[in-house]
Amino acid sequence: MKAGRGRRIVIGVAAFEVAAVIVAAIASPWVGKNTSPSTLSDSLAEPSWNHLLGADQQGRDVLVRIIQGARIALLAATEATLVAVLIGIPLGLLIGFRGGRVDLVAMRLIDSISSIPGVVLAIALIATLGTGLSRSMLAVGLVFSMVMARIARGQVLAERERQYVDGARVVGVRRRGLLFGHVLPNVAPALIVQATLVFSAAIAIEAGLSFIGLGVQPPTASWGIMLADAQDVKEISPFQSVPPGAAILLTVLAINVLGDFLQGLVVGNQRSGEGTVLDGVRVQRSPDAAPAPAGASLVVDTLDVAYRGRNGTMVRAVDGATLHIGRGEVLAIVGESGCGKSSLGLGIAGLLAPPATMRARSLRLVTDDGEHELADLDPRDTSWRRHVAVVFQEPAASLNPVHSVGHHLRRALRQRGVEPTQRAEHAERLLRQVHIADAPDVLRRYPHQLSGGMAQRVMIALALAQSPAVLVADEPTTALDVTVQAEILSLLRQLCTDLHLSVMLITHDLGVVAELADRVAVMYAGQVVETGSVLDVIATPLHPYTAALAASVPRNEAGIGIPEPLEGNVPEPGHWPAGCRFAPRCVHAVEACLAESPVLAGTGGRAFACIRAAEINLVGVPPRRS
Amino acid sequence: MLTFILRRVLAVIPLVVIATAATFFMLQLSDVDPAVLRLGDSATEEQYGEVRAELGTDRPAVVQYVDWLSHAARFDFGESWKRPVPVMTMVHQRMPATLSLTLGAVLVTILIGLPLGIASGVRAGSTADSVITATASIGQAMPAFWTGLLLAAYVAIPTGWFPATGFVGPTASVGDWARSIILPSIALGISGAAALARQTRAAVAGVLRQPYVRTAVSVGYSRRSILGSDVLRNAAIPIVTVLGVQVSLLLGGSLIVEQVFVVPGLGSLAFSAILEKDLPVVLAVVTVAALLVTVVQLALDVLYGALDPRVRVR
Repeated sequence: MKAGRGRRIVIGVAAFEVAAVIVAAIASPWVGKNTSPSTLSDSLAEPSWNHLLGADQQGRDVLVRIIQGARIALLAATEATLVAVLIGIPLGLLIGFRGGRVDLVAMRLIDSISSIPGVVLAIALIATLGTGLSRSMLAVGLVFSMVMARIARGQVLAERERQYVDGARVVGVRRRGLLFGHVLPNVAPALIVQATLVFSAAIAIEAGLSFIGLGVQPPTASWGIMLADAQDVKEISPFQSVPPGAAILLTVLAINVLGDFLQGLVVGNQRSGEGTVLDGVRVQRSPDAAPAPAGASLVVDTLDVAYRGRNGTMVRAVDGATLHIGRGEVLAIVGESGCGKSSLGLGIAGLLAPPATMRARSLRLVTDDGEHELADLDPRDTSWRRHVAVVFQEPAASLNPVHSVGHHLRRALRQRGVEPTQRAEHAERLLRQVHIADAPDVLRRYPHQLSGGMAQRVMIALALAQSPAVLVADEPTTALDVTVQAEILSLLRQLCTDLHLSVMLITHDLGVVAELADRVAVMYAGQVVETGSVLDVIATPLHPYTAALAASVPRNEAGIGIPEPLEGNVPEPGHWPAGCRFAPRCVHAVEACLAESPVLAGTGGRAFACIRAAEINLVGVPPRRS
Repeated sequence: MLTFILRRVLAVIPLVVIATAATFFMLQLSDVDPAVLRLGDSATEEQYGEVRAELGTDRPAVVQYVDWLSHAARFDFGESWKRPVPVMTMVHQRMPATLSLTLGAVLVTILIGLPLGIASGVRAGSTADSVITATASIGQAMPAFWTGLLLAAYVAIPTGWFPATGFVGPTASVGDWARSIILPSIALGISGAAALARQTRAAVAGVLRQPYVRTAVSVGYSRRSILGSDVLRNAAIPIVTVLGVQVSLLLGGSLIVEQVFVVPGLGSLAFSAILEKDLPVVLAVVTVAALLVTVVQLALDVLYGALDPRVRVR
């Protein structure tokens, strides 16, 4: 994580402030000894060279008392935090690790006690323990130990779910060893962050309790006592209440800033300039677009998508993708993960979030009501959106959990302008269209009540509700069971035929491609490396990457043997090699491949980007006899 | 939905009972003798015995607790140890002030914290977001009683628009009541609003990254529709939880802030009770506070159920 400059300054100032308070606390016994003894003539003196922050009613220097108060504040907060940590964390770890009945009873007790507001519980504890600094801070520490215990328990429960704990159990690590050796190091960061919050809260609470007379007793200097003194003179000298409060504010703020910084190190912070999908990304248009192929409903001309990389520079994920989808045609985009397939799909559907950027010569949509140049539109213009529907990989997460299936469909139908009286019936028809038998029942269900396959059918129905020209299906079956995958695929195929949908099918699975697609575009490292009809490309690949993908598909045929997995990984965006990007993994690569970037070229709807295509003999998958 | 509410109500009763039991037995540890409180240390053993018998403190602790609980269930918290007055009468006198302050603070918290949190969450990462988040960090670090002191010293006293001290009941004069609680409510509400703003921001920013928001964008709904129907509707679920915590913190905070404005609420009752070792009063304040928090929590739980079908429908 790299913090911004302003952020680093804030953290630096906070660290300095905390250091100053610590120094003041340590030095306080020697501070003020050399100054003149307080005299009543200085009573409520205004700030001056003699008294930088003025003097209080008894003529004592306010700055000196603030410094003395720092010692009390830190002592008090340290005591309360130690009590909270030493009681709360072992308790929480124990409860979390024991689980079962111990957890049930202990959490019931902690829940009950937590229903008493913290200040009130502290008051009750002080009633038992007695007033004074160390007793009241013991009370505050006990109150916070409940919070710490709850968090420690939650962390342990979360960690217990992790694999490594099961693994350690299997190899026979004993329970205590597991607690200290494996789980504690993993839950410690969250608990340290929480402890800093307890520390800063304890400073404020010490001041509050001393202010009302239950904490430190006068004449000891505490920021709370000083504020209590200031209250008595607020009518004649309002400034008296400023310095002690500012001391509390700055100290608490500085500790919280450092706590946030620690938390950021643990969980990661959102970086500035990061927008959301709601903001959209404006397409940078280069003007020289080629004319659209006849009969295309989507034309993508030289599309680039870039994201901000880890070190802050923009990194290209899609590099000059050019393709089109004919009306009623299924175009499959295939490639391993990390090849830019999904970025291409999101870019086309206008679902990128800043700071991602997109550039294209043209991104054209052809519908019944004419041509839309999407690259020229304001990202907030939603008029074209219903023409491009999207089906995602995670159907359950892609549906709003608080709305029923019926609500989802009726809302989309309203967006399309369907009359209110017809929406319910129309929604039911859509569910039947995606082969959901009990439509009225499913309309009433919420997303969490749907199986994965059912949720994907609902997503498809939602897409159909828009009556789109183009459907982008991003790995629509990857998250589903194998049997359900086949059902969804046959449904998609039927809908393409029946509704003349143009589909962009994004998948890593050549089996799915063969099943569903008319044409295919193979992507590698952000580029389209081969396109053509499915039969041609799979049976007689012209790019070694396509051939390698085909060879890695398991086939149930005699004499084929086990599939050969593809060696190596797709290079990450930003680390693309010069020349042919596939060359380092390619068995056919020669010297020239590393020097020269091949260009996608070809005729008759067949194109490839390999300089050796004519010299090498690539083997594909023979067409299926079906 | 009705069974859901009923189940929640039944679930909180043991919560309050356990909380009061824990407090009761904890206070037993303090070993205060009410007879000495009432009579001083110069009375005869016989006189002490009479007082103990009258207040029932000569019985075993468990018997005392069961007896206390059966009376408390009918809002009878017994008699003060210090003076022969029913504790309920004392609590009843102090309730309006504490309730008014807490309610005012909750209003300030929601009216300021929620819009700011939404505004910064929707534009997470922008300059506006940084400004709001930084302001909220400062607000959260300001102790409410200090804010109150500043408001009294620099607003109430110089301008005279609001009283710097005292409380007027709503039944006496609604206008004066409002004027008397505005400054304490703001003092208390600023820290609550700051906390709520930060948590609302986190909730909104978190929901904005959910896949279903992307789905809504892809369908082509308007920004306003997505913010309302998808983002805020889902962010409301964690915010309701946070609100419950805030109400508890504000109720506790009101006990301290009322000292700044010399408002006769449960705080001053509890503090003098601690100094006088009048434990039945302390126990009553704890019980009333726990009860208030629990009732609010219950209402929020029902709201939670209404908001989140995953909780409601099993």
